[in-house]
Amino acid sequence: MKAIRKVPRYAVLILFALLILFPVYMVVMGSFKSEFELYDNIFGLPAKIGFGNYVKAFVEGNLREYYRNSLIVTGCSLAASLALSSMAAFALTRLKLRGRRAIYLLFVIGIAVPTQVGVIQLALQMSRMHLTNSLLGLILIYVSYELPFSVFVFYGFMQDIPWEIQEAAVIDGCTPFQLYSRIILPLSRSAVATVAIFNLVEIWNDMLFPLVLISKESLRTLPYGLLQFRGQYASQYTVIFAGVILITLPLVVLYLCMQKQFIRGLTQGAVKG
Amino acid sequence: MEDGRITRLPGAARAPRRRSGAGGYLFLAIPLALYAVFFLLPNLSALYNSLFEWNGIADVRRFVGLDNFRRMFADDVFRRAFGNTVKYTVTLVVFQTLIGFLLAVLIYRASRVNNLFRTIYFLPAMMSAVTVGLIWGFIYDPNMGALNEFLRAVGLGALRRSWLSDEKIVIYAIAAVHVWVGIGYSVVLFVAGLQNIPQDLLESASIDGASAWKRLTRITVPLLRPTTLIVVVLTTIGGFKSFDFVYVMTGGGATHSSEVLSTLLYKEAYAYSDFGYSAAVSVALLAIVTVITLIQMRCLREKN
Repeated sequence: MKAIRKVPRYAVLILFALLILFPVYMVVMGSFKSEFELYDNIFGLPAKIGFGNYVKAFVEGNLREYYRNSLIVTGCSLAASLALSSMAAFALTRLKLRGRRAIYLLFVIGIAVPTQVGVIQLALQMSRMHLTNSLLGLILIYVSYELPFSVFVFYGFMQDIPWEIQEAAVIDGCTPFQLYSRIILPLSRSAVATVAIFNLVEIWNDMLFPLVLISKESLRTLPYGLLQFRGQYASQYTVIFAGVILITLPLVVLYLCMQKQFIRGLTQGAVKG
Repeated sequence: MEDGRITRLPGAARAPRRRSGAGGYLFLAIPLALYAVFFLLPNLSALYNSLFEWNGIADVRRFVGLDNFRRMFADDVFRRAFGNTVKYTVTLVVFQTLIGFLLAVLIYRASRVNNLFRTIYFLPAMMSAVTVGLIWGFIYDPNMGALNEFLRAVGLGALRRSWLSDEKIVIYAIAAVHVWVGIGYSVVLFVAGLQNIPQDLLESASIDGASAWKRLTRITVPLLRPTTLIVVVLTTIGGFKSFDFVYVMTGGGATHSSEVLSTLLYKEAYAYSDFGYSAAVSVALLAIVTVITLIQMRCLREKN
């Protein structure tokens, strides 16, 4: 009896799981098929596994170059964002600075501002500063736009670290920087994980900033590069699918290894709105 | 999402005895400078430039006061974009809340199988809007797309259509993609909310003879109000801001039938070189999102 009652429950769960997984399955299979095979047999398995589409995406589609750009931009932005936001939150929570409350508010107001509001003005400003068509320009922007949420997470975490620890360190002769790098930051590991994951997924996947700031082909990052590549290969979906997999795979692998941290980091980030 | 945090320990509230010197501001100098130049400045320029008429190139911009806003309210395209944004947002909120709640009720108890389902539902959140848009562009393709092929295969061929060029359904078709990506978030938020409901409350109601349906509607749903509020507000803001899916799948077409506020402000700037008007649209977007955020803060405060 109990087993029968479970049937509708699993039917619903599996139905929605299939709605998520079926498109994914189709893309994976499609990336191994020939163009003709894709339309001849949309839902089936590929006749043979070949990596031709991947090679084409990587070499002719220039994903190789976009990969390098994305790695540089994401890596540098992530490192700078973690360092700067944790330092700012450290100063705002652990040092009794005048005006720290106002500065904190200034940062967190940014959480509520949609990126689209200032993006056009930002593009104009960047071109006046000669920072368009520059990976450095992208990095500066990602760091700045990730600050509100990152400072918010570090602030929430650091303000709960007991003062006794800090006092002991100060008595032992710790300078503020040592206090930050040797004591407070190592104690904030779980905030580091949250901020790193959220920033990683946002920056790696972003299309908006390259769209308005990068016109040079050799400087495109992955998602924007793949989008342009659609125009170039028009309806060659098999090659596009290979590109989709190449972009998505690193994050999916990380996600499957660290689900708990990913889900926590991203859900907290969603509160960013 | 509290599990990663340590709760306030005794003594945590006490302030340090010594005020650190001005050197403390060095930690803030770079982040504040970057934030001011690359974040605050462009957003403030949007406010400022909404009062001007400007083609983005000329040295002279003409001050027009609130004319851009007046023009906006009379502009058919803006009205259309606003209407589409509302349709998109309502679709997103309704489905993401209802489906998210349904799935969360079914999987909130921690078990291997339930975790597996949660992992699957959250998977699309890893994907870039570009890749998602390209995949669904293929699924919705009118000629060889997977959705029409599927409908034909199961004998529902009559339902086949050009999902992304049919003026009446395109905006809902794109909103459905957003639901596909975002459903994991609402499942996770509802699961967290459900896990906070005391189990003995449900058990004692069950002993008193309350049916499963009654327990759900009389206990679970009312106690989940704060979570529901968060999900509704987050998806509402997400809906109003949505740009990527629309840009990638239709670019706002055909003839503005899927135009939303953020694609309109992009187009006004880059396609029509009307930077003042574009800034005015972005101010409207900011105003809407700010109002929703304030409502959210108010509701959350009432809850406490």
